Amino acid sequence: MISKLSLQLKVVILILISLGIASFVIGGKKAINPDEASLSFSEFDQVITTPVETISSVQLADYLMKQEHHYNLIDLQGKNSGYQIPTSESHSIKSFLELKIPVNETVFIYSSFETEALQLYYLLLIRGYFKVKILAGGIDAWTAQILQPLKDDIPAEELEHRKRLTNFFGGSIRNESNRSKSVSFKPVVLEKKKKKHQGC
Amino acid sequence: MNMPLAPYEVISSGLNLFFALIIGIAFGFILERGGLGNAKKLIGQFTLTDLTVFKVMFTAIVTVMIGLFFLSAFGLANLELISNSDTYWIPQILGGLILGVGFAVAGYCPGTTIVGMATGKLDALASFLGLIFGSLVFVAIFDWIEDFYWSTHLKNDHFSQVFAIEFGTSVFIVICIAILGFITAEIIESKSRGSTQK
Amino acid sequence: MSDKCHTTYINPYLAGGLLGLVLLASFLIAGRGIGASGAISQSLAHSADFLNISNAYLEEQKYSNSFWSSWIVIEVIGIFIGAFLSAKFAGRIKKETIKGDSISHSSRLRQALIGGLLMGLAARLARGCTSGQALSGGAMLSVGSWAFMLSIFIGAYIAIVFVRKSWS
Repeated sequence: MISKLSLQLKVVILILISLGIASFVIGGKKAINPDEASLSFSEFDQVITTPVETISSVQLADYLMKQEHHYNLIDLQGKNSGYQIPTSESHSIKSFLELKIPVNETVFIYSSFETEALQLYYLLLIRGYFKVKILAGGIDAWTAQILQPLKDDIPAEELEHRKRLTNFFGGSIRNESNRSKSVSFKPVVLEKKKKKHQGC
Repeated sequence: MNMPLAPYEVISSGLNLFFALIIGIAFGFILERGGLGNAKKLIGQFTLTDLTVFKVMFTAIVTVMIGLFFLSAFGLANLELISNSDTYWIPQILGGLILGVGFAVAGYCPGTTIVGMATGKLDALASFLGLIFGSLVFVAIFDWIEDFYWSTHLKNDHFSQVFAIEFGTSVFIVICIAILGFITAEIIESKSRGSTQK
Repeated sequence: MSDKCHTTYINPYLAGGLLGLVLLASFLIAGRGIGASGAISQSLAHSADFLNISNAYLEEQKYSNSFWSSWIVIEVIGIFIGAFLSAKFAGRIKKETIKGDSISHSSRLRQALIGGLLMGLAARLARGCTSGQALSGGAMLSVGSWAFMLSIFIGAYIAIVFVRKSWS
């Protein structure tokens, strides 16, 4: 029966059998096993000495306000955090790493200060994520620039734009006179684009 | 190497669209060369006189599967970034049955409809109009079937996850099935040729 | 040789292998498989957008900002061009209706229209057609795609019993 098959098919079958056996032998082995992977000193140095990618509060506010992106905004402030930036998800460093989201996702990280954000930043970089940014100045910068900015600090030509951002996120622009007053923020409901599979 | 290129943003979205055109051209060219733009040849699969459809489909599947497996095993491509829709069992099986009926009636599947149309087949053009109407009908009734559409969802639907075997083992099994399929196809074809010659 | 009766078409295993390489290139470049029917639904989604019609499904189907930046639309335009070129080089461009001898011209076209309608509906229900779901998903070893592929063959072998006459 086999002898009746055309020569082409015989060749095809031969190639397939050898590749099939090879794949059976390789089985489930991965090129990079996360438990055995290691960075050399020079690779580690490379990661650490590259300038940290940051996003300013104003840039982030613009980005969020568009409501047309898919992103992950990670809040590392911990349990006793008060205010959270709209659409952010509260995580610990460990709990976020465990999500194992795809490495091409956009990730913004912020914390009370920049330290925790920076820790997660590096942990993500060595795992191959390449679209990670930390919020420059942490949540304090967000409060100072978006929620209750001082009018005097804003350049005149920027004022309109900044007013819009502040209003959008439910804050208010302060004058020198009511500087010390703390304002309560209106909660904002923001939409975030869902991640989609590309349709076939 | 960071593959797939577009998800890793190695190439711009404009260049990605350019490659879409090239890939489409190559795909259409080869389908036509293989005779898959001809309804009679396609329908031979179901009258068991010409099993080209099966042979082409399975050779293609096996080629891609082997390619992806080895590229992934050697760390050249990250399969997690290749988008693939999740499994929705019942909608997919029902959809398959209806599509199969449509295939046998029209003589084309949606992709080969495009190929047939490009080569001047009027029946393919009719089938293409049908495809548009069919999609419109689906859009119109979507509200009623939305729950069904999202039912019986399975997220981790890779062979190795569902059957709890290694990736390489599932590749091996599919290769074995394909080889048996090819031999069977040749036997069926030679029998049908024998019967028509008598 | 198995292909004596179709000398003008290339060997199916060769065609399959080449098709596989193209699909592999698509996976490695774009990170997605090749589709066909999706181009129609995405075109509909963009037309609905243009006409200010809102529909839950079409909203779901909008993957790109515009018609011309939809990957699958461009790819399907490519399929059309590629098929045309191949047929042109082989001298196979001909305005004709492929049909069995026992069926009239107009009923063949009606049949193709009905078949197309069923496929258009089914492809949306199954999230892809023979190219996008069965071929691309099958190569990714997704069980749903294999179930879909098997169902296509079952559906077609059942239907052929009733339409066999029109193909003879």
